[in-house]
Amino acid sequence: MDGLNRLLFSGPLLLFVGAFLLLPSLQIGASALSDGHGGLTLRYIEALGQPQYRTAFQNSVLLSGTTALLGGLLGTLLAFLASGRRGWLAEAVTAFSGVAANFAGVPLAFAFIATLGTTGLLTQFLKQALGLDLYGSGFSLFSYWGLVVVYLYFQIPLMFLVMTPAVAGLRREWREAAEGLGATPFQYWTRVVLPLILPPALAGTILLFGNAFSAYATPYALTSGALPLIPLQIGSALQGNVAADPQQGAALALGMVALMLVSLGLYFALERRNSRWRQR
Amino acid sequence: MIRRLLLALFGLYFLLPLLATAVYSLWAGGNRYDLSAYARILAEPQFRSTFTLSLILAVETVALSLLLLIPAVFWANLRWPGLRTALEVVSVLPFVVPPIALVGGLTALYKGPAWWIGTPQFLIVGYTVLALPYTYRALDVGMRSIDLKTLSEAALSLGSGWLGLLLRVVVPGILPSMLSAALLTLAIVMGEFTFANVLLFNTFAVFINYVGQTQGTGAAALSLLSFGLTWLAMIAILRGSRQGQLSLGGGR
Amino acid sequence: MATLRLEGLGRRFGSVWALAAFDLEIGSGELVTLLGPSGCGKTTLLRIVAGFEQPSAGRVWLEGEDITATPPNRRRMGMVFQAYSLFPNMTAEDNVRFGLRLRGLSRAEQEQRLAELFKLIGLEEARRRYPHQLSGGQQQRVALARALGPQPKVLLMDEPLSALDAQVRQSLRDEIRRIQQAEKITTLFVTHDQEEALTLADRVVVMNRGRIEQVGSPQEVYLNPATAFVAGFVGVSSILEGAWATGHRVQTGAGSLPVAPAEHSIGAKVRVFLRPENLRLARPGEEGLEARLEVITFMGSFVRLQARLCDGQSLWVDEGLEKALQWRVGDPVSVTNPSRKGSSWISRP
Repeated sequence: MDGLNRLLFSGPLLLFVGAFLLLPSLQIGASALSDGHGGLTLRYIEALGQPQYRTAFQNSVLLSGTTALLGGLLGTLLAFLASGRRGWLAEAVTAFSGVAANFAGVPLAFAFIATLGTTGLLTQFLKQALGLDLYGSGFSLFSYWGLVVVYLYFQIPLMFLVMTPAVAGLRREWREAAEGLGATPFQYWTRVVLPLILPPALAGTILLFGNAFSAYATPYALTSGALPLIPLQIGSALQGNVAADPQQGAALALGMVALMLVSLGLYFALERRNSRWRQR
Repeated sequence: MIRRLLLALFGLYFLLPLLATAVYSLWAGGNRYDLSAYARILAEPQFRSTFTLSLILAVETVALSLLLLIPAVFWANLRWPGLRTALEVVSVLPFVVPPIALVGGLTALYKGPAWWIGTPQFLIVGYTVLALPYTYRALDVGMRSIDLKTLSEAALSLGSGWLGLLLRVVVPGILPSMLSAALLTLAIVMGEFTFANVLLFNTFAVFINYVGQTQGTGAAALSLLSFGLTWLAMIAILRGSRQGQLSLGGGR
Repeated sequence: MATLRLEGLGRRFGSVWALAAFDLEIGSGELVTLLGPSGCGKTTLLRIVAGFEQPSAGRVWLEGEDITATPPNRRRMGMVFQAYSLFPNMTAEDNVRFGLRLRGLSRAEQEQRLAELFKLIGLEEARRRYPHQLSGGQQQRVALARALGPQPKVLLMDEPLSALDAQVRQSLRDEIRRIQQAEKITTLFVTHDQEEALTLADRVVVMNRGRIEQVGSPQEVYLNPATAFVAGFVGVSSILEGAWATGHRVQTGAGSLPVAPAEHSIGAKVRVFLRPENLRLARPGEEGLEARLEVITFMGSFVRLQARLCDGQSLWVDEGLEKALQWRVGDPVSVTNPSRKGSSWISRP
């Protein structure tokens, strides 16, 4: 009786997930290994070593790593700044973080074009008011560092949301206990806070890495798919824009999923260890 | 104080792009500033059609999500704790397989029937998966906040069947979290670009991108509208939810 | 010379003085409890002594030195909080070691001191455990060891037992007293529980609304309250309202009762605090207040009876188990005060 009810209530969802999430994921693997005529081949996976894919992989890793580290640092800083006694600030930043994360993608790209594009508001302001010619001195929104600036717009809020519970959990008593025992503020930060904050910060940074690596809409809208990044190349292969076979796109996607699996696995393993003693 | 200065810098970084977008959207060439970009873009027939399409897709996604999730979350909370762990894992999977990867798998796997694959409705399954982490969490929080066990036992002892219980007792009890889930999904679907772009469907976000190639000011206007829409949704969610528990949404 | 001298301390929030005109001298090795209801300023006072808050007025002197402006990390005071003060990511041992390291003790010295301390608190087998693996009582013991580690001059305790279960509270209370006396450390102990305050202290400071109501030994405070607040707050009392009569008696609608001697004008409206253990019940007709028994409560080692006077007031009377057997609810009785104890105060409207 119970088994029948279980099937009834959870069946549709599990079937759905199986059909539209699990099977397609397996399909990615299958496509990556298929030679188009029903047989198996490793050539698409081997082709991942080709220069254009290696470059894209390097770019993606570099970009994701940079934005993860920068976003991690800045997001943690923001969590410390905003989680004070003044409740309204923390709430406002939290609300904005939710919006900022959703704003990512096409609208974000255009917002930054309007700000830092060749005729963007800030670009012009810097040139006219401060004599600083951004594009003249080599900066471009559509280059690597330009992307970093844009990516941080959703990386920082994500890190903020991840770190806020950890920062809020820092009890006032610990600071006072440390001071009472003779610690200077510096010693308090390095000997008490840092060991407590580092694990969730690490976990958050890993999460940010995965988040940046899989971003598609933002770089696409900024560069129309021109920049060599893994997600963009997957998109091109799927759309049939390039000479490569769709299986190549699948191989790329497989590589990406493997990476996401590792990074999310690490994230959850770290989180599990952290929550052991954090919750009281 | 140094804290204020740093917060101000953060505020500047986050608000400047919005400001620039607003200013740019009001630019009408030369030194004129008016709402002409807005007028032009809103009058475009494609605006209406893509906006409506995305809206319809959002509603359909919400419906599908709720239909699939409510019974499952209900049962997990009432009788089958084991399902809970399974659902927690499931709600994380969409992060492991990002949209750009998932879309590849979907297209390779499902080649027909043509009446489904060829229509934008094909996107709904992808969207439901995309929204899964957020809708699941919202509904789970809601279910845990009502005394599910007691209410169910009361209803059953009075002779209610499962469907009646769900419709008349559970759903009214979790309306705030259903609303939360719906608004989050709405925000996600309205902003979703990856699936639609790869599969060559003309949704709202795709339209904004297209406009951006030709009309900068028009795209800026649309971006601002999109931002405003998301803000409204967020505010509605925060007002509705008791705990203020927030999660992220969105395509990147 | 007093170890700790608190001179005219006050703390203002806006226009409200949470603490005012606080003067106290604490001798070496003395345990002083600060007792009062929540919001009376006792925690504020403690935090000022610790250095976490700056006073709006007054000074703090430690062994003759003015430390009012000294930052908390240089005051050489140990502090034990109500809860959650152990560093969660360090073992009990490392928590205690934290202060020792900061003092610059060598590794060998640290180990020796750790051994001493953990023996003192009786938790040698729990040294390697993390806070979340320890019970509330064990955590507070570790917190105490940690505070004592660097051999502070003063020990400050902010309601350390309030978050614990009743049974743990009792045993830990005795532990704390034992340790404090063994280490001979000057201690300031804040609590709202008067039983704690009275049993632990060499002296009690009763506070209310930011001011000191009375300072004295536990017996003094209990038997000779200086103000109506102290009389009502410390110990259990019933309040009797009536008119002051000759012979140090109080006249009520139910008769008159002898109480402790006081100088009030005859006929003045007074309020008397009567402790249940001082009152007795007798058969009606005997000299005392006319009443009827309303409630009889078995309290374990004694019985508490509530007598409703015929003028409407009610009084608590405690009787031994055997004596109480003769009474039933509804019996008419006479309430007497053979001890002639009971402080009286002019009634304020």
